Amino acid sequence: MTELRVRDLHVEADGVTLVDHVGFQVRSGEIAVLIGPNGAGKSMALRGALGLVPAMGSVEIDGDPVSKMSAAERARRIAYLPQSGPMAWPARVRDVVALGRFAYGASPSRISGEDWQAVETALGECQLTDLADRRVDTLSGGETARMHCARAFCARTPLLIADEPVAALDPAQAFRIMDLLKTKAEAGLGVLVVLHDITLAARYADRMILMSEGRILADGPTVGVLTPDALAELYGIAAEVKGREIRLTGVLTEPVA
Amino acid sequence: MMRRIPLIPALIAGSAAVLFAACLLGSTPMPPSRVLTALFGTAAAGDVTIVWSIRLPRALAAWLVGASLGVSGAALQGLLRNPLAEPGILGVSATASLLAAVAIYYGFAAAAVWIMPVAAIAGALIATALITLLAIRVQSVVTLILVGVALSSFAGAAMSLLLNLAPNPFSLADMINWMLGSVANRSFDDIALALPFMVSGAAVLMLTRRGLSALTVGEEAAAGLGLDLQRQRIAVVVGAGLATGAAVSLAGAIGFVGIIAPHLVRPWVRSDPARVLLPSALLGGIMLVLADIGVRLAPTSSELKLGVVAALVGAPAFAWIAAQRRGAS
Repeated sequence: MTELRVRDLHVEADGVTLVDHVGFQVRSGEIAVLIGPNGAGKSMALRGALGLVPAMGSVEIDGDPVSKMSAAERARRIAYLPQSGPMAWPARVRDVVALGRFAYGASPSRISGEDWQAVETALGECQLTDLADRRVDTLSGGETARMHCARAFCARTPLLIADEPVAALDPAQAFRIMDLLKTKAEAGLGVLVVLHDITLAARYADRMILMSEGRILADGPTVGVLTPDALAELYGIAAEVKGREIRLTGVLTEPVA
Repeated sequence: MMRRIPLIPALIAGSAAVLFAACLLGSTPMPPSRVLTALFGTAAAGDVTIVWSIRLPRALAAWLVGASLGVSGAALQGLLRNPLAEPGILGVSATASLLAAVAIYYGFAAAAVWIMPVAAIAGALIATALITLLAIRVQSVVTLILVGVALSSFAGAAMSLLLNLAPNPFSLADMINWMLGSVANRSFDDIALALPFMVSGAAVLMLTRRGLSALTVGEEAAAGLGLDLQRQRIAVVVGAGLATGAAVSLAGAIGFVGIIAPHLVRPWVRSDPARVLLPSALLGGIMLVLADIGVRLAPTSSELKLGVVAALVGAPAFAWIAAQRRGAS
């Protein structure tokens, strides 16, 4: 059982508060989904929690403060997939996945033993074995997303944070990615994932964290947190909610908040 | 198959071949047997002088300058995730040249032979120190590039000012020679002065190569992988600064080797920035020795400058590489 515990996290830039004293947890074996409108501070909260931007507050993994860890130490305990941008070079799929072993001292040009095993296993899990020697610039969006998942999986960390891993994917590919994350969560991985697709979030989340204007509005089991009122406050949209089934019906003319 | 050819041994053999060829060719053509006796055995005093005092140090200087620029370019491209980066882009070459020109202008260079090289290295280190301080404070590589451009422009303007105000035609000619770039008349003493900086710079860059691989996926993702971004930036900038400064001290400003060598090597090493470094150094060395052989053999009344030839070949190649880029931001 591993737990990431974030308390009183506060991120500012140029005097503007981006993340306002928030707290949340990620635990082994569950998928926590972070949702909120654009500019809510979701990505910044993740970066702050990982120590990638200057932040105040306390972030601990099983009681060990992340701020005291080296970058490699942290990366061996928590994998991070930021919103993916373009690759710098037309690298090969296997080499990119192998970068997941970076924190263990491996590199694409020097990979053997346990590292190699981890890469092969991750390629298999993400159905990339046949694509392993392809150039990344020849992959489809779905294949690219699976490659980044494989990169995170082969680090074999107890925790994974993914920022919009299904952005710009068609529904089938989005399901595929979420199914991969779900399988890993059932095997014990603790996952925190940012999503914009509320119906997808409701379907896969064990827990939902709702964030708006730098603050957390609600955090708890999916059924219960995702209510028409909460969605109205978060996005200003009207919705019908029945358990995990959500139907968005339109934009509210009068924002509730 | 391309990958079947062992790239690094081939480039080492190529380097040896072009260095040997550079000893054969010149105003006094010498057959291989005479060069070999001059190199390793007992030969006529004239032959020994030609090979050991003129041709070999000149060729070696060209190779070392090319290698330093090649490895610096490859590392900077990996760091900035941009195939158009080169030592010039961070303003390192320009600042190094500027300080060398200052040494000439104020007559310091005449006081002792080592003053001008030391000035060039100092210029490179000043530029790298500025960039390093900035790299600690800003997150953006684009900002880093723009500061490099500003630094280059400023050094260029200051250089023009020096030319404008040159006290006599001799220092003007000296400074112009420096700006054009050449390895003519370099001795083993000149090489000995620059070599430690080249080697230490290249060594620092080799230590950064795993981090350069990680940067393939982007800066934020690389940080997520466990890369210490600040340390990586500082190490690459310092390593490239040392190697480039030493190269400028030996040959003046020579452009484009740092862009073209890594570009040619990349497809052979699966585009892995770590594996680009060493072959880029070797190929950069080969390219500059070949260019210098061309300079020496060209039937012109006054000697062509190596930097001019490198730019004449390099600038169109640069434009071609730039035009071929697709999609990348």
